[in-house]
Amino acid sequence: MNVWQDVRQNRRVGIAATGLLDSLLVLGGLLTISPFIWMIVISFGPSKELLQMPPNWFPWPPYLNSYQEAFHYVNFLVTGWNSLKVTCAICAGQLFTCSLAAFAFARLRFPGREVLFIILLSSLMIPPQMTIIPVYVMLAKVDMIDTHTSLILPAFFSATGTFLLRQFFLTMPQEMVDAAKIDGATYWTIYWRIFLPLGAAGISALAIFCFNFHWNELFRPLIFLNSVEKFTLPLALSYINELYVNLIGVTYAAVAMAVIPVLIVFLMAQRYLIEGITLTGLKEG
Amino acid sequence: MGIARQEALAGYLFIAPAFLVFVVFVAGPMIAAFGFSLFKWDVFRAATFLGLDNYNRLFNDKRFFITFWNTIVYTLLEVPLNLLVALAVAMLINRRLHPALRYFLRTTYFFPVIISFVAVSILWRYLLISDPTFGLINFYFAKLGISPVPWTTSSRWVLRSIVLVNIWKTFGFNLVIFLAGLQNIPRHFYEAAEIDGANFGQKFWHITIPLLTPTIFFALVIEMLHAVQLFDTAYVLTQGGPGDASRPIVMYMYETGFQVFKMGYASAVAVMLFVVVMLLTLLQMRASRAWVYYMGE
Repeated sequence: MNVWQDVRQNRRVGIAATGLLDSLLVLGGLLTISPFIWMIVISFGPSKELLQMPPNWFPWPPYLNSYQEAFHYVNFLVTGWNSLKVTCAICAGQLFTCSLAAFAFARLRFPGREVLFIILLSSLMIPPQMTIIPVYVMLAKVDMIDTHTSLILPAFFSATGTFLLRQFFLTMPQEMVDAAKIDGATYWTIYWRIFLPLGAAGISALAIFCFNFHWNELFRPLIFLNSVEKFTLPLALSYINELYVNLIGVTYAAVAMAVIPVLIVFLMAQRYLIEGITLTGLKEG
Repeated sequence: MGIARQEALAGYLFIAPAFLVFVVFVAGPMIAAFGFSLFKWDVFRAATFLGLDNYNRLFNDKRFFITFWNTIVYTLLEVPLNLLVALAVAMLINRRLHPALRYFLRTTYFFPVIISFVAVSILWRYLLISDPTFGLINFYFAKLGISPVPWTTSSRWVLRSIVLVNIWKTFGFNLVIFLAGLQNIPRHFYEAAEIDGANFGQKFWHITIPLLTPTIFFALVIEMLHAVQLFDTAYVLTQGGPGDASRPIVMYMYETGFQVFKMGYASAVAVMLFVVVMLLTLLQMRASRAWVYYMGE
């Protein structure tokens, strides 16, 4: 029952029109994923090098040479592990600090609460590129450049995250806090035992976004990391991209290896991810 | 200790970790960036105070203007086109659809959103090869009788190519936002309009669009905030080339600061970026009063 109502009212025209629209949308969807299909096709092809067009869209049997080489060049186990480690650490820390602050801003009364909240939120307007030079200098002063900590520690705060979780906690009744207090619960218990478990939906949405954003991050690793063995996946990919310009098969295999785990997680968590955006309009980065 | 004092103390303790990180890694560096921009400093030697000299030089720096202009052109192209594509697709999807079709569309349109700009740029780098013997798109263009497009080799086309790639990468996000916005429009508006005999176009222009303006505004602010920060795609797909034709301001800052180590000068560039972001945001907030319609006002 919306603007499409007219189209549906006339039955025969309606069926033809919806059929047309549906096929248009499907075509659009296929067009959108066709670059991926092409990438997969090329990565399984027999040649590592630039291919003459048209590509063979159904390479059979698939060749694995490109994957073997890519696995070696990207040092996939190491870079993948680095990415996983950094991303998980960031998300754990960020979820903790954000949920703690969000709980206080939503459900505890203290002088200056509104002002402090607005100050924190104002950082949404600060592009991360603006602060990168002073942060770099500071990290260099304490000898933390070229460590994973340099990526993890500064990310232990997110204005979006704090805002989102505060909104979420605000929907939970104040009476719960009061009742728990009467029962002698400490504020920590109220946060840890009541708000965290009941806010699981909001927290998992934030977790997915945090993970996706930092897993894909290039700018900070590019600046903070120097040693190849500390590289994260995106950084290793951008490196490979410069080194092996003509080895399309290898490069594509490397990208495919980086993308496929994300694809699997996406297919499993898709509903939560999209509900999360719908809920909050959240986007980082 | 009174209950109120206890609660206040708990409040301060709970916000302390987030606030500490905020002060050390966001607020402090933000102020420091203004300070740095007043110095000449190459990391290896002591800094010398210049006052506003860096800004003076900035306004005579041709490359600063070129890269600045690139970012502006990119933003002006990418943001409206992205939102337009997302809105159009959202309108087409916002019907009763077969669940399988809905799942298929959601998956395919949203997939590019979740993978990294690096992966996307590498992927498109080969797709956009100009020579139709090797470039997939130009090969099929040739089959359709379209002459090959110099995607990333011509300074006229290169920004448009980046716009194309980034729209492909991000429109799925705005699509989800718009779908949520469309579904929030109460049905009875449409029902009332139908009783009055409104047609498709009238319903679209007089109900859908006005009631969607808060959503459009939100998407506009966020998309613009991200567009002016363009870096990854340009860095991986074109390396800023040919020449400086696709070098955005953030990349210029990165190179000045971290490749030639002119930290003071790069900070001045960063401050300018911040000023632009602030101006754009304020401008949008002001302008929004004229065109954004909030229900219940």
